[in-house]
Amino acid sequence: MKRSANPAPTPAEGGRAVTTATEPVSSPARKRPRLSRRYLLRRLADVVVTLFGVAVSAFVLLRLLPGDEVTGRLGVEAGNLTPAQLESVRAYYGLDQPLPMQFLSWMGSVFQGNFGVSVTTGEPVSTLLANALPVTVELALLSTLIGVGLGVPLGVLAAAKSNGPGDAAAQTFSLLGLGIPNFVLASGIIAFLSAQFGYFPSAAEYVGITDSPLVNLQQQMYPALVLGFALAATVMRTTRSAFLEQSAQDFVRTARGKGLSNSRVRWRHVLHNASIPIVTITGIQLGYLLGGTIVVEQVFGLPGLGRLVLTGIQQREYAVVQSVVLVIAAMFVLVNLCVDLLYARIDPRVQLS
Amino acid sequence: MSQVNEPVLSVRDLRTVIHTATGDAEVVKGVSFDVARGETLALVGESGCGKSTTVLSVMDLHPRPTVEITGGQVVFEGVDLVKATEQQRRSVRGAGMAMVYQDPMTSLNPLMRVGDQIGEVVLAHGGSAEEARRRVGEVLEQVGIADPGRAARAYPHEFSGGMRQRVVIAMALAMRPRLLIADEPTTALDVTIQQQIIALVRQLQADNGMAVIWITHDLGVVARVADRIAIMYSGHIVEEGPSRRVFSRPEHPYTDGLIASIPRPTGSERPPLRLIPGSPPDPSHVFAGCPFVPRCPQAVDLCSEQLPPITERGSSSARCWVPPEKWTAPRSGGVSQQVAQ
Repeated sequence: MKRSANPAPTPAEGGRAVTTATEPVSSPARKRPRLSRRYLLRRLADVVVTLFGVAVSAFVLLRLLPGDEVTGRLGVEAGNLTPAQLESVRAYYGLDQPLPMQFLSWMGSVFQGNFGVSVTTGEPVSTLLANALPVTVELALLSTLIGVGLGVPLGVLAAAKSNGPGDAAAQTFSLLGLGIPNFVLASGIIAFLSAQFGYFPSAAEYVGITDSPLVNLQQQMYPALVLGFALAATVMRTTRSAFLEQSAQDFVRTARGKGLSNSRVRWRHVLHNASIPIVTITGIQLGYLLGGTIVVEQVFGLPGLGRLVLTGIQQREYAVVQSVVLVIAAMFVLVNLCVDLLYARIDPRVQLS
Repeated sequence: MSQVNEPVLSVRDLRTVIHTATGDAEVVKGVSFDVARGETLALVGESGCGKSTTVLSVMDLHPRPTVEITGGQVVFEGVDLVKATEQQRRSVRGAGMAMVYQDPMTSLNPLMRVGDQIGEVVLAHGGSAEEARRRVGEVLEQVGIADPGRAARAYPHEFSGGMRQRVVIAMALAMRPRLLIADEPTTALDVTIQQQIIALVRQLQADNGMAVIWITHDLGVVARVADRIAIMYSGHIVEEGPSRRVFSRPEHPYTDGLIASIPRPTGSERPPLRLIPGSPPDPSHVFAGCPFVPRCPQAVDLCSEQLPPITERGSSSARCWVPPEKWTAPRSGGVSQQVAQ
């Protein structure tokens, strides 16, 4: 029954050559590289422009706040200084310079890898960042893991049994996740754990993951659950609607027509095609989480970026706040780039050029 | 081409209901037909007459619980699939019978390599990875795709419409099915590609001895592919018979109307192009009599009172109260199959 690749034209109806494809014979179109160097360079240029804009905004907005580093540092005591003393302290910190000059000198030192020094503690900002960044990154990744790990299966379950009891349960879950403010959930968890079990791992000094992974995980777990719960709700809703949309596509019927098992159809065909919106929403949420979650970090006493920037603003720590904002923006841009690369990985039709 | 032997597929009194918000609609109303080995049955009718629903019922590809088979038998190689377990049905789907779909632009998974999509069929039916890989190459070659190795690694969007339909056909062939169901496989393609696809399926059928159910509303295609024809109207098969016979001596006024609406060269002795007035009824509409009455030029009083039974007349059978010799209104008089082509 096997036939050769290009069977000789058989005189069939109208003497046509029957089986040979006369359309583009070089079957698939010639492949173009999907990720060009030009694309990466352009994205890099975008990053530079974005970060510059963020730097200017952070710089200007901070200076629009009443008070400055000196009053922030000294508080009411600043009032005890004579104007001449105040002037000399300002001059010491370079605050007597015109704003553009201050900005340029800050940018200049940032480019040399010097983020400045905290006026309050005297610690280099780079040290502060090095301590806070891993806390926030770990929390963001853990939360995302929980959110996706919970949200995607729940969304698929809800869609596969849409309008059934499982769907109703999943929908209720997601409404709770979206509706309960995370400080309420956080306080609830703390109250419950400490009242019922006298257990509250976050009350102790924060332990880095490299020092003791187990203690670290205990401290990170509850805030990650709080954030992950809210994220799971969003991811679940996105998954459900994308899954339902893709289920109605023709290729899903084709897949069933091949005699594939239901689970294979669901996960390999439907979910794969539904993954673009899921990746999008997860990427956006991860971006926000990496910006530090001020409330949750504060409630659970995690020394992350959120707390760093909050105390920084309270004390008008120009160098700290500006640097943290820059780092947050850089991470946001990086996550976006990763999401775009992931699109191209998921969907072969995506051209990054 | 038809031989007298056991039918590969035997459908008896099949009934399919669509549950909608406004109520249930029976869209397949007791359909029966057989397809023998090596034979091509054309299922013909206007949009909405239930022909796709019929074959999707045979394949068990309806979205559940919206669409439901409520009665009848679908006997494939001796097994009634309506009563079979899901497991049994799945083992037939894609292996014993396979389907080619209308729109090749949407019936392939855009994110999966073509070779994986074909190989998946073999894997789903218990084949090894090695077998799957070998089969992918074989079927791609069979459907006339040059450089099967390269094609297998490509994604659907890298192919034209006609080539994609070849891929879909290759996918259907992966398990050497005994029955191929082609649901308007050429409707979405342009005319020259249509001819290639028709020729390809005929060639494969000649090679493998597959039975084919070919769904179409294009009588030109019917004349080209069919050994036998079943004409559907409003969920019923209204006429069934050998292709040559149905074209030359239609037994049902609807068939006659379809044949009269085939465009043909001017100057021929035949009556000019006629159209069937009106449009097919809403599938949910329940008729006391024959559903074609409102559009039928030959109707008598009895027709609106009672659904006509299936009457055998020679090799054809039709669901009509009025035999052709008693028709009063003008008629097409039939055409030869060659003219219809």
